[in-house]
Amino acid sequence: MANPLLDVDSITVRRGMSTVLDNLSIHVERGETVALLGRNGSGKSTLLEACARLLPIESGSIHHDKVSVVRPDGARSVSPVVVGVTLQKNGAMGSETVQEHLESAMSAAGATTDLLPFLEGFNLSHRRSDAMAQLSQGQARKVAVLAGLLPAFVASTPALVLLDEPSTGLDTNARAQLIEWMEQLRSSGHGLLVSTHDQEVLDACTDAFEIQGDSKRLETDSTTPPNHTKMVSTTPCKKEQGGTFGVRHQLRTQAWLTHNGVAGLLTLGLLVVLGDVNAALSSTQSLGLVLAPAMAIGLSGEAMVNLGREERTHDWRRAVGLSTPHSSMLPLLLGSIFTAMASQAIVGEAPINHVMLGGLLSIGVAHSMRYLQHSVDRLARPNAVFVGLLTPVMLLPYALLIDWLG
Amino acid sequence: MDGMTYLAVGYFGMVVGIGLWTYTVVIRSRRLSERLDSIEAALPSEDAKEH
Amino acid sequence: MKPRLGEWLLLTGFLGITSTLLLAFLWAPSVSLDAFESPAAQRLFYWHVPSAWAAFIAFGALFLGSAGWMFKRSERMWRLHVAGSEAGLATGLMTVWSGCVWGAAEWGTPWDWSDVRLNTFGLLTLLAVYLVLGRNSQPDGIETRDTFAGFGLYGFVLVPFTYIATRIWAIRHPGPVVGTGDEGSINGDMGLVLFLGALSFTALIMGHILTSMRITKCEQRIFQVQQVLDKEVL
Repeated sequence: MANPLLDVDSITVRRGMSTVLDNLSIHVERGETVALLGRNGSGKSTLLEACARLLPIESGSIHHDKVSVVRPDGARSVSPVVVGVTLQKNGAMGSETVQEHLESAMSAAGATTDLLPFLEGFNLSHRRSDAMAQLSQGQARKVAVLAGLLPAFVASTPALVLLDEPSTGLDTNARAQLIEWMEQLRSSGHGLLVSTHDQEVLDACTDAFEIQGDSKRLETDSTTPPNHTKMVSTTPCKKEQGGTFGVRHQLRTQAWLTHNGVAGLLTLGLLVVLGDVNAALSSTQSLGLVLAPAMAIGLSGEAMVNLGREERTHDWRRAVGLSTPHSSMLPLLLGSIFTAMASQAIVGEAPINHVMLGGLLSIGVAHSMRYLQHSVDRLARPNAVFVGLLTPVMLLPYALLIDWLG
Repeated sequence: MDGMTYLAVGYFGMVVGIGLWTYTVVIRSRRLSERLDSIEAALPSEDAKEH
Repeated sequence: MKPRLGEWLLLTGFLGITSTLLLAFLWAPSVSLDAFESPAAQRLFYWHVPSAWAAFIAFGALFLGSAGWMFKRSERMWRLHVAGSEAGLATGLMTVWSGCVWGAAEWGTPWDWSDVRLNTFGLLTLLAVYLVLGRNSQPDGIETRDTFAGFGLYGFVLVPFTYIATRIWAIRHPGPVVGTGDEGSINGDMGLVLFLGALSFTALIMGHILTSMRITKCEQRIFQVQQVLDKEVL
């Protein structure tokens, strides 16, 4: 008999000051659709997010196809199965188009297919090229649900699908389409875990699991798990890289300019205001001023971090196995350009070694800042913490570098 | 002002600063204790005994 | 209300610090002009060194508390983290501030970016600022505790590094004057005042840690009781 696609064994999960899940076990086999039931606050979303490797567990274990993916010591591993996820938030940035978001979802499974039948099923084909921010809440929700289902449709092996209240905000036709797709996936050998209050969705499930005090499995339509069958024709593709995604969105939203470029510009402007001071400076001091705009660009951090907190985009990408977006080589380019300008303004020439140094300084500092910014992702109010307080950490290596080079 | 005067002013300021800091910590501790005592008194007896 | 141990230590420490500063100002011997640019500013030594010592105790408490929370999920250790970060903030600022004033008078500059000890101590203080402000901006919970305890653990790596730095990198900041094993490393009277200062700051910081832990415990208990009373009302 095949291993369960999802095996949750005696997990305890805490959130805030409460223990939300206490010693809970559940499994999802191939060809099963398990409905999660329980009152508001009982822990349905918490369980789904833990299964999606988004939450730490205090005890117990979570396995995907017999591979441990979450352990109480904090270790997390990549899932060996394709995972499709729909969270309560839509998981897409406002600047992403519908097509782009769905292609990201499919790339997580390593294959693509023609989106048209799916878009038509949800009456979204005319919105294919629109940005998520332009959609109504209901339309955005449809996209999020499709993004949760598509990885399983294109997967070449049985996939795990985790859906949190997928029918919320869907009209009657869309709900019926959702149920039809869920049944298609189940009968093709995939496993689904669905949190729902919707009676129609519940009726379409093979099992129900109630989270409430003594959590238990309520009913089982026990059947022999179906063999996995592919439902659509697919083309292999590479997983979308966080850098590719990040650069595309930085250019589209001009975040490279508003977030980092402005800092470089202001610093350069201040230096120009100082006037012709180079004669009064030592070579160390000159170099420090020349590299200051590049440093400012790096210290401004990663714009994609805040953008990705919209609709929990980072969490969705982590759950499906995609890397978090970042600006890749953009800081290198920006730092080089601004260093060249600063060098020309202060010293009267732009040696290539200074330009390269500025670029490297920018990219090193920017990506270090990215890790600092991500360090507060788990907090309830990550934007209320001023991570900038720790940026002086970067000043010390900058000072030592200038001292050494000077 | 000469160096020693600056030092005297600085020292005085530091002593006052530490004194204020110490005072606020002690007062906060006492006020919280009083607040805790009064709301624990409102607890049903089983919950009060538990802690 | 009868004073607790923490309050006694705070009072003792405060009185000791006041006495130390009076002695430093009025009794401790002056240093020669040959050895120091600014003999008057040298008297800041009786503030600067003991507050740095107290800061190390505070950061040690921060580390212990952070580790205790991360690995044992101990409520008491979390209270120690909170107390350590607040004490570290206060004593770190005292050390940095007094150091800057002394540096300006003695070296002609308040700061030296190439001095490893100065900068790692400054970073530790900055970390304490971040932890205190950050924690106050968030609701209490496991996510907040894990995040900031994590920072506390990593930040503490700086502490032994800072201490060793004066022995390895003799840049601008003077090397250690006590505990070097050299004979006559410090004048007897100066040593006495310094020792009194160290003892006083130790008492103050221990008192603060104990009182702060009590404050956090009371806050947690108030939260629990309020939850029980909320359910009663419903």
